[in-house]
Amino acid sequence: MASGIDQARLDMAARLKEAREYLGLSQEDVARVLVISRPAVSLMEAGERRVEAMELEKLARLYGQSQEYFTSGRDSSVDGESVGHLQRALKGLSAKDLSEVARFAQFLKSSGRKQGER
Amino acid sequence: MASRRSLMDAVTRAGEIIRTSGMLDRIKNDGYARVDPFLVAARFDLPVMLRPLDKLLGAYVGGDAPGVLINSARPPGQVHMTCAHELGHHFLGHPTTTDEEVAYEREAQSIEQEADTFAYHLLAPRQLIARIAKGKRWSASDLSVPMVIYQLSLRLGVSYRAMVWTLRSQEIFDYSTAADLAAVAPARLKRALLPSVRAEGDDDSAFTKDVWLLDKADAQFILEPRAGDRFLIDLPNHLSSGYEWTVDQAREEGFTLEPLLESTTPSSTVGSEEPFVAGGGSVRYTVKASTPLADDRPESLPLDFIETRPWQRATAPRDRFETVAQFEVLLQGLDDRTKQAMLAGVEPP
Repeated sequence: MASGIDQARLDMAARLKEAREYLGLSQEDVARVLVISRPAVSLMEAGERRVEAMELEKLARLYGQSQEYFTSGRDSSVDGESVGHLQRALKGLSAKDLSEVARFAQFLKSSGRKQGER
Repeated sequence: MASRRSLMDAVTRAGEIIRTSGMLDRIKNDGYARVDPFLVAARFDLPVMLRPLDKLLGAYVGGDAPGVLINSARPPGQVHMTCAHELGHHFLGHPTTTDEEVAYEREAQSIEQEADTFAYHLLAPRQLIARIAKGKRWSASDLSVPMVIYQLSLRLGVSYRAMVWTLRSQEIFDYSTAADLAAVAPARLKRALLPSVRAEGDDDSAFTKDVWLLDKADAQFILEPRAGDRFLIDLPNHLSSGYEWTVDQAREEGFTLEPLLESTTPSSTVGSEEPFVAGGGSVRYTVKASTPLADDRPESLPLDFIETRPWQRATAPRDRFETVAQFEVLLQGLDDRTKQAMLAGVEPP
């Protein structure tokens, strides 16, 4: 039976897997960054391997999300300001499209990409 | 409505980007047939995200951290055009925009018209159309034949309909001709090339993939099909003097040639090429991959066609030419360049 701690680990594992897949990164990519084996990444994303603090810090940076998001599912760094300027552009979109555009804008902002040449 | 001046600026900007992104060199020196909008984005460090979306074709996120979002659940021509349209928003300094359509009506907002104009002139500028038409020996009147327009659209990586309206904007034909041409369903053109597919019991879903009709003139181009596309090739016929065409079997990833022993139905609206003619003219073959291609990694496959007599294989062939098919792969998620940059940012030293 899953205890509360087990459930929290499974939730975090699911969020890590989803964040990786959203970006189109492979388990090999992540394994290389964390200097662990690909099967270890697979276990981590199945909730069967502990995620070390250093690893979580790296993954959060790589995925452009806060560590808090992965551990709790909440994200206090998303303040609405980042997608606020999209309001006009997002008007009239379907719920799915709206969440996709907002998520991508959030990703761009948090990953702090340097601006491309104009 | 956009001013004439702002549309002219969009045309000029597209031309500049073709040059400064290295696309012109890629075409002139390397032999590619088209401008790849994803490579353009990569050259300018602009992240591109491919996701299955609902109604949106794409979106441009402006500001300090710009990026492009594209609906991956659309046909390749539309995906390329959407990417080019969003690049237009970027290079023309537009704010964040979401697009449920590209190829806007005349009444659309000026920024949409400007982005469209940029996109058309990025992917299908006059000189690029002229280059392919010259290489394929297509005359101006050939460019109003649906099959020719379809084959041109494949080489430029745009949809058939977008190709029709591009040619119209370049005054290759008048508006009413364009409307008639745009009404021809690409599936019908594919079916005209592959009548046997229907006989095999496949329905229209078999025609989601494209059908490339090649000939010797394609030797000068690197073609960029997608996994699952079909290839036909018209080759000069010297069967009566014992010559047969084959694909070089020495290569690891083999292709085989099979004569297409059925006459394609000539039709003025469809504009099929000449049907199978025994003893003269050319013979149409299907090019079949002997092993299925991986659809998750790009492969560049040479197609080496040789005309020999079966009993003289070892000696010099009568004719020989090679074309290259570089298969395009578009996976969901971020573009490769952005992913590599992100990984490098957190990778151990």
